[in-house]
Amino acid sequence: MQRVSKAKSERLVNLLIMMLSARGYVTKHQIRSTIEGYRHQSDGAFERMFERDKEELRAAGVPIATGSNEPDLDIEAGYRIERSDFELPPVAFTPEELAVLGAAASVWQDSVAAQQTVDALETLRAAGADPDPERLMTLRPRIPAEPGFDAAREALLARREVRFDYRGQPRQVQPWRLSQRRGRWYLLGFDLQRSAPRNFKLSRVTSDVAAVGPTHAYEVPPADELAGLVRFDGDRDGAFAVVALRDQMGGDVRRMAQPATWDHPLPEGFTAWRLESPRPEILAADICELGPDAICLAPQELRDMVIRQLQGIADRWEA
Amino acid sequence: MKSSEQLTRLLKLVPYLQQHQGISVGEVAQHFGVAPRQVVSDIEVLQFCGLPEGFHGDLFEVDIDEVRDAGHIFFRNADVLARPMRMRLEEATSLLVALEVVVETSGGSEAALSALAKLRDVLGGVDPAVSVAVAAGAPEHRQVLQAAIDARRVVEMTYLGSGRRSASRPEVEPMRLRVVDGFAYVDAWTPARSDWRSYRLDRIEALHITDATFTPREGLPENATSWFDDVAQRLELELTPDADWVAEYYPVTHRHAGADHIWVTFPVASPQWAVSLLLRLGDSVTGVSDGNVAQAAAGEARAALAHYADPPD
Repeated sequence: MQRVSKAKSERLVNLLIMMLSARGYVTKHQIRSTIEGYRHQSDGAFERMFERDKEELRAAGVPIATGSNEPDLDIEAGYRIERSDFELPPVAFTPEELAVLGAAASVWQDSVAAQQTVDALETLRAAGADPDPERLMTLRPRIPAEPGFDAAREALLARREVRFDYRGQPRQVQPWRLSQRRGRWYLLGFDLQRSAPRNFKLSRVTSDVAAVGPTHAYEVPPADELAGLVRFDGDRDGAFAVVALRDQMGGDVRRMAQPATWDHPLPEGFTAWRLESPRPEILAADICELGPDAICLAPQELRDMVIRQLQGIADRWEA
Repeated sequence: MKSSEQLTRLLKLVPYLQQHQGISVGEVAQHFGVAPRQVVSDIEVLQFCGLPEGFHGDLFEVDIDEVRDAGHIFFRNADVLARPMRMRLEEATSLLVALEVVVETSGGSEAALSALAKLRDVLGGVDPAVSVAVAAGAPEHRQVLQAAIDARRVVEMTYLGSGRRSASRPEVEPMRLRVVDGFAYVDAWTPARSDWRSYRLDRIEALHITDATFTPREGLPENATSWFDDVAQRLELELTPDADWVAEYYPVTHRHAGADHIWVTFPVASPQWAVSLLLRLGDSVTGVSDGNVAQAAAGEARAALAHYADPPD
């Protein structure tokens, strides 16, 4: 078993080198008479072996072109590998850059992308660069994956449609882009039932993500167009509030706030701020969470909403 | 071992070995994540590979006995495969995204940006199709922190915690920058607390490096995924179904759904955090496991209502 596999690896490497080093296209006939592993095969066995080997090289990413040195003449087609399509272009990194590349090695978590990154760094290593994972131990970003992420990404890269259940509803989507925010993955794609772009939060996908149909089934719009279509939970600033916050207090809310002017007197030690959020309910929750350190000033409907919520809490939980 | 795996590795080994003449079998094995026996087996294949015709001098030159006996590899006459194959799309995009996150976390340091630019150049306009947003605060803060980590200098920061806490001014010994769930943190020894703490970078208001240096301490937790790990206290809330989103939004240790209600258990970092959660969730909370937390929330709500005794204008 081991010997068969070794013979095959040897044959594949030699086939690749022959197509890469030839001046023009090499014909099947030339290949058969040159490569040791093919020479003693019967016609049928050679045909099958050669087809499988070509497929295996292509699957490994080897760009095999088909054509003829004399396209005007009706002669047997041949094969070649264009060196510029095959080889990684020259690249050199400084030691500092190699430390950064080394830090990239451990970024992906729980995804096939982790192994793919390691494979990519091996290619750089083979190109003479030596990414150093030890040097920049002080920089450790991590990207966790989620169920469905790997399948969606594989389909996206291959331009295949995917099927999945979203909150229990079946969907068929052309994946356009995967984005992560706050540790959650979102898939932007063209929803085929609704004939419109839609955003899907992967944590709400209730089935496997299954690729369907052929590869290269659709085109993805240009990146600048996509940027305007990606939506996360909590996007779209549809509501605003003017709030008074106790100075030095307010945490995350104050960080998101813009200074505001307020013409009426405020309690001692309070300053006016403007807040924006997708929905008024979120603003009310943000303000209530701050208890006596925040006062909702405007708009009046939001102010009433805050008062109702505070009143409800006081009534329900007062001993 | 699938033959495709071996093929991919062989195509990397040939250029690699040409640039590392005399390298040991063990070192190659380590760099390519395989057993030393596999490296020897790979060389056994490669000794019969090379330029076509198969005449002496056309094949790659490697002394397989020296590899087996002395464990060193000298690999020659392989100019035809002097460079590795281009990366596959999924490899190139995985590395690009990882590197973009490193760049973002480093605050766009010069080395990180130039490494990314060179990689993009060599990959030739690949669209990664994946983007990761990191809430990492001001880029200059990250650069200052990285400089302080490298120089082992104590930093003083103005830190605005979440929720109800007012700004604090801790002096810390920074050790590591890290990203968890889309937020960047600095892990630091905090002498005032005699403990490791993680500070979220977007909550740092101001930062400066002091003259004091420090000796890095042992025991920085390797995979502290969040500061909730060491929290012992738990709070269980009974919620109406419309508040099911909280289990997605906050770290929870347990969630159980019934017909009319759901029950969610949270790790509680401080009593104040629990009170803030109750104030935030309002009517959606129908039961609280800790009566003191409920009463404190009622007290805060009443104090807040006092602000609304008069109309705003």
